[in-house]
Amino acid sequence: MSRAKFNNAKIKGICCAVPNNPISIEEMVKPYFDENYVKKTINIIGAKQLYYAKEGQTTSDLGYAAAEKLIADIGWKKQSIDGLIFISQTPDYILPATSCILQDRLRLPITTLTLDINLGCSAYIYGLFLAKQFISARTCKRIILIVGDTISRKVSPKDKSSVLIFGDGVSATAVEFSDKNSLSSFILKTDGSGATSLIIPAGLNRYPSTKETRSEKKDQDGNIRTDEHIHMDGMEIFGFSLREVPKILEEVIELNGWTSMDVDKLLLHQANNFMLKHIAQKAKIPMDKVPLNMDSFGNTGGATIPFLICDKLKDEIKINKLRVVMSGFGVGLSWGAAAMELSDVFCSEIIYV
Amino acid sequence: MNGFNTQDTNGAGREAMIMTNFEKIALLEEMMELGEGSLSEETVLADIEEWDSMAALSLIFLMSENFGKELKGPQIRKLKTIKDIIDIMV
Repeated sequence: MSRAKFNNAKIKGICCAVPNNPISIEEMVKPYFDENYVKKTINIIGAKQLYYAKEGQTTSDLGYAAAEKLIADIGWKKQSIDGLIFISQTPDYILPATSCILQDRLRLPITTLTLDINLGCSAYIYGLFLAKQFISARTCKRIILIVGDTISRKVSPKDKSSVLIFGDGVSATAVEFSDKNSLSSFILKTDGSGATSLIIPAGLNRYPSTKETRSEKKDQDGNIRTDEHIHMDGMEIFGFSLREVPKILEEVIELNGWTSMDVDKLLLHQANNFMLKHIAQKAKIPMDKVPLNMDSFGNTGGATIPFLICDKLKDEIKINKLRVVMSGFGVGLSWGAAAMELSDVFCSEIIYV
Repeated sequence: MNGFNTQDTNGAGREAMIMTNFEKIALLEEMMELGEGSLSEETVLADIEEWDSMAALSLIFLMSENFGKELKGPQIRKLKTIKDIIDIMV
């Protein structure tokens, strides 16, 4: 099993950015769906407002803004940064890697290690794991981890299985060496047999873009999209999450030497409120330990956990020590969980770019 | 907190074995937030306003919690009546 424990790397700060372009879901889908159905579903899923990238705005534009503010807020000298990890499913180009572009745009030294990774809902857990791995191996001392997407470009407004859920947002997290005891534990898993449960079927190399892949089709549930739009089989993803997430939470808590009583907050990937409530119920975690903020930003993919921290735990982790368990799960299928103590973490105000 | 509990599905399943059809219907009524007596074995799912994609997810949870079964999308799409659901609630 892929598991790891770290003692000498900690989160120093987090900043999150959304496009300055709020979208009311109810207004957006009015032309396509019955009003009462939409109201009821919004109520259950939880997303009310989303932010959509403006024309010409990319994931790295948001990541740049978040990282620039973060570096200024925590007072890091750019010359002291030696790693930049960018995890996204909506990079600026097929090539070069967006992390290279960000190294230059952020004016980070050429001694910086940069890396692009393609992951979605599990991205933050994998990213923190990698950052801590590099620091633990003394490869890097200070790493900027940028996680997020501008997935709105791939969402069909006529597909209720995705338009009521997904929004844009990008996070930047500063991770650094710390000789203070800062134990954290990670478990990472994959099941590629579920790849088609959450997929953009066409538009790249397996099925290149053609007139056919760009034409709208109606599925058995009445949703309309093209093969170049994101397609989520909600029932498959729900079944998978219900089966695997409670299990990995239990495993990571044990790996970190805790019992579930020790956990102050459970930070779940904000997939949809309905699903999170059922996961928490199955894992026997009371909802007052499970913060939700789907209503403000929707599901921003890999960025939901840092958004949740900045939105809901900002003041608590600046002063107090908070024992948290995080879990990201979804597209891949890829999932992971981490247990750690958060303290002395600076969360910048969420910025609107 | 009572601690995690992901391995009690067998126990729950045993209990569920002795559930009567009446009790199963009551469980489905509760799941869809319908009044007692709203559903019968003959009720056609397509005729129930509350039977929608979210109700299907609720059914996945109900089957997992009460019967230790993982219900898949294709199975759910084949369900036509309440009787079809009752038949898999074992």
